[in-house]
Amino acid sequence: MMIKVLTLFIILLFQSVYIIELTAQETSETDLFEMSLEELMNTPVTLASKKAESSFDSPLSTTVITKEDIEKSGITTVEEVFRLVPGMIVRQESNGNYDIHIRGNDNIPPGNMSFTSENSMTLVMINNRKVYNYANGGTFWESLPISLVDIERIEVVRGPSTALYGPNAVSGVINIVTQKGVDKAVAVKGNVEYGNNNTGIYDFAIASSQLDNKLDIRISGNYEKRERFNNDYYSYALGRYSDYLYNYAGDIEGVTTSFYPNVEIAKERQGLNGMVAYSINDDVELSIEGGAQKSYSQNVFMETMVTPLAGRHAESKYYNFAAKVYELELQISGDNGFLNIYEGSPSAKYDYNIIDVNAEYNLELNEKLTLRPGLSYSSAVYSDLPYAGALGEAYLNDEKELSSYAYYLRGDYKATEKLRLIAALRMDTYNVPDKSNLTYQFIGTYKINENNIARVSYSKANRGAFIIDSYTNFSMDGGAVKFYGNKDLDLATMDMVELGYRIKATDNLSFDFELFHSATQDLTSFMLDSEALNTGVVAFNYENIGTKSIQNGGTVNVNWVISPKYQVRAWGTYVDAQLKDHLIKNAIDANPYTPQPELVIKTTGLVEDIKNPQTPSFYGGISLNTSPINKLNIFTDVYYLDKYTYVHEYDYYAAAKESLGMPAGSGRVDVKAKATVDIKASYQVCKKVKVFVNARNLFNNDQTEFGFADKIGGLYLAGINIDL
Amino acid sequence: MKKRFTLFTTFMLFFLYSTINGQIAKHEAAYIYNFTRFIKWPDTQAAGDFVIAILGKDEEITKELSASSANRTVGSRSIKIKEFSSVDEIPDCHILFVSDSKSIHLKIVAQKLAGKPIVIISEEMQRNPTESTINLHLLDQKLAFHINKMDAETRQVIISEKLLGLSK
Repeated sequence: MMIKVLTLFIILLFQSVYIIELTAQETSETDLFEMSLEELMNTPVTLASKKAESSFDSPLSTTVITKEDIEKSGITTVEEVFRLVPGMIVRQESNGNYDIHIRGNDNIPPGNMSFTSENSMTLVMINNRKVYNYANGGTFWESLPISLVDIERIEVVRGPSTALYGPNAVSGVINIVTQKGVDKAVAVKGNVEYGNNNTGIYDFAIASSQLDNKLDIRISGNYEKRERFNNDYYSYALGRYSDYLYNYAGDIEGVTTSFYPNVEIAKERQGLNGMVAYSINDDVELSIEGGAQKSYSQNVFMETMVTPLAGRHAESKYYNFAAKVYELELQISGDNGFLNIYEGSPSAKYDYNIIDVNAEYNLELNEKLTLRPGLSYSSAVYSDLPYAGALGEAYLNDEKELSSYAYYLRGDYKATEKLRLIAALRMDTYNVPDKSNLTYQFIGTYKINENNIARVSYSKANRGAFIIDSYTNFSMDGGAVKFYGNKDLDLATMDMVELGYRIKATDNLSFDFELFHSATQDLTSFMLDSEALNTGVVAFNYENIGTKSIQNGGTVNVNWVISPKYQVRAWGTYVDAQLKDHLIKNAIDANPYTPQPELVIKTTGLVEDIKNPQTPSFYGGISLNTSPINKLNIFTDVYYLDKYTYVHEYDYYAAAKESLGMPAGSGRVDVKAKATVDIKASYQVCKKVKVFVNARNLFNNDQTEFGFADKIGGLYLAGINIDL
Repeated sequence: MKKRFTLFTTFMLFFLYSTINGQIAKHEAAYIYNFTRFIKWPDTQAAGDFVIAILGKDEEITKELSASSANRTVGSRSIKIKEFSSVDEIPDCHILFVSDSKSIHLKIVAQKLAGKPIVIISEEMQRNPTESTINLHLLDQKLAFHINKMDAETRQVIISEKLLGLSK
C-alpha cells in the first residue's frame, strides 16, 4: 500500500515540475489587461488563494468547502466531503456510511458500547438549523434531507464553540449552507451517477429568481441507494465474520437474514426540499424552508450485543424560518418524525419533536466595537410510548423532554488596525441536569501585515444531556438486567487553548498552522451498580467517569495554486491523545451458581493512564485539481488515516472467557493504516452538461476502516451533471 | 512514526520550492480597467484625473492597479491610484474598491457616499452586498461580477447594457 501511495506522490511531483514550466510559459503569453471582458470571464482564476484571502482574517480554525470543490472532487455524499477538511477523521463503516470526528476524542472510554464511538461532540447544522440526535448524541448523516446538489458551501470550525453556537459544539461546528438565489428565471441542476454495488445517486433541483431577484424559490429532490461490500456480519463471540449471529455467551441467535431483512443494503435515502426567500428591501429579508426525508442505513451506532452494524430507519419533516429585520435576526426551526435506531429490536423506536428558537441583534456601537447579544430556546421531546408494548420493553417507556434556554453576548473589538479581540459568553440553563452552565471563548488575532496573521484562543464548551443518558428505564432478559438513566450527570466539557498562524507566502501559496491543547472531562458511561449486585440484581446506571482526555496536536494546511489550471491542497494532523485515569474494568461472573457463567462488566476501582487507542496519531490528505485542456477537469486526492485500535466492550468478555478456558472470540482489533485514492475526470460536453467517470478508492484496497465494520472496496461510477 | 514524518516532509518539500505569480488581484485590476469603458460618470466628474481609491494599506490590488496605470487612460484622462486607511479619509474618486478583508466597513462607506457618483466595488464571495455598486465574486473558478442596478441609478452613473448583460 505504502508503495502505491509513494508512487502516486512521485507522479504528482513530476507532474508539478511539468506544471511549473507550463505556468511560466502561460504567464508570459497572457496579458490579462489586454483581454476583453468576455475573455476575462472565461479565464479561470485561482480558487485556493481567493479562499485563503477571504478566510485569511478568520479568527478561528476554519475551512470552507464550496459547491465547486464538491463537484470537481467527485465526492458522492455529504459525509465524504470531510476528507477534504483539515483535522478531520473520516472512517467509512459501510458503503456510504461514515464515522466522522473533528480532531479525535473518539470512543471514550474505550471498551464500551458501540454508540460511544459515535461523535456526539460536534454540532451539525443546515442553514443554522441544528440536526442533532438528542436520543443519545451524534448526527444521523443519512437522514439529512438535502443532497450535494443543494449545497452552496460547508463551513467547518475546529475547536470548542459552545459560546458562539450553543450546546454540543464541543469539538467543533459544521454548518451546511444551501443554495439560494440563482439570478435567473429558471435554473435546473442535476447530478446522476451509477456504479458497482448497485450504487445509484440521483439529485435534482429547480430554482427561480423573480421580481428583480427579490424573490427566490427552490425545490430539490434526491434519491440514493447503495449495497454493502459484505453479506456477512462480524460476530464478537466467534471472533470472525459469519452468516449467523451469536450473542455474547456464544449462543446462536439465528441466521443474519432473519434479523437483518435488508442484509445487502448499506444505505437508502430520499429527500424533498423547498425554499422561498423574499427580500422586501435592503433591511428586511425573510426565508422559509421545509422538507421531508426517509432513510435507512446499516452503520455502527446502536449496541446490538451481537455485531457492530445495526439497521436504522428515520422518517422526518423539517421547517426553518429565518427573518432579518434591520439588525435583528430571528430563526425558528425544528423537525419531527419517527426513528428506529435498532432495526429488529422492539426497544428503540421513537417519535420525536425538536424546536429551536434563536434571536440575535447586531449592535455596531462604533467603527471598532460590535456587540451581538442573543437569546435561545431549545426543546427535544422523545416518546417511545406508542411502541413500548404491554411489557414495557422500550428504553424509556415514556415521553421525555430535554429543554434549555440561553442568553449570550459576543463582542468584536478592533483595538487597532492590526489587533482584533473577540469574546463570547453564553449561559445555558437546562431542565436536565437542573443547572446552568457558563461557556466562553476568548480570541485574539494580530495581523502582522497583509501576508501574516497570528491568532490565539481559549475556549470552554459543553455537551448537552441526552434522552437515553438521562431517562433510560430499560429491562432485558425478562427483567434480569436493568439499565437506568441519571438526571444529575455533569455535562461533558472541553477546555482548549489554540495557537494559529497563517502565511500567504506568495499570492498563490498559503500555509495555515494550528497548535492545540485540549482537556475533555465528565464523559459518561453505563456502570454496574455494585450495591444492587450484592442483592442479586444486575443493574447498570449512567454515571460520569473520572477519565480525562488530553490531546496535544497540530495541523498544517497548505494551499498552492500552481496556475489557474492546477491547484494543490495538502494537510496533515499529528495528535498525541492520552486518557488520564482510565477505569480498569473486567468481566465477572454475576451468578457463580449457574453452570454457565453470567458475565457482567465491573470496574476494579483502579485507574491507569493510557494512549487513546481509537485516535490515530496522524491523518491527512492531499489533492490535485488539474484542467489540462479547457473542457477536461481531473481531480485526484489521497486520504490517509494511520493505524489505530478499536476496543469494544466485548473485549472484557473475551478476556474473562479466555481465563475460563472457553472459546473467547474478540472485541479488539488493530486497524491498519489506510490510504484511499480517489479520482474524478469530468468532460464538458457543452456549456451546461458534463459527463464524468469517478473512482472512489481507486486501487480497491478493501481493508476495513472502522473496527469490525464492513470492508470498504473500490467504487467506480459514471454519471452526468447538468447546470441549465 | 519515522514513515509518517518522511511522508509529511515529502508533502512539505513538494510545496516549498517554487515562486508563483499572482493571479486574483491581477484579474480584479483587469476587470476594473474594463469597467471604466462601460460606465459613464456624470459631467460633474469629467475634469481632472480619473481616480481609483482603495480602502486599506499596501493592498495587493493597489500594486496591480498602480503597476499598469502609467500607460493607461480613461478617455483622455490619466489614472491615479489612491489608498486610504480610514473611512473618514475617503478621497474624491470615481471608483472606490473595498476588499473582502475590509468589507466590515462597507456599510459605513456606503452611508458616507450615499447618492454620490462613485462606483463602489466590493469583493464578497458569499453574497452580493446591497451596499456596493458592483460585487466581484468567484463562479466556477472564474471571476464574475454582479451589478446592483438600483445603487447605480442612485449614483447617477450610467452602466452600459453590455455590462449589465454580463452581470451574474
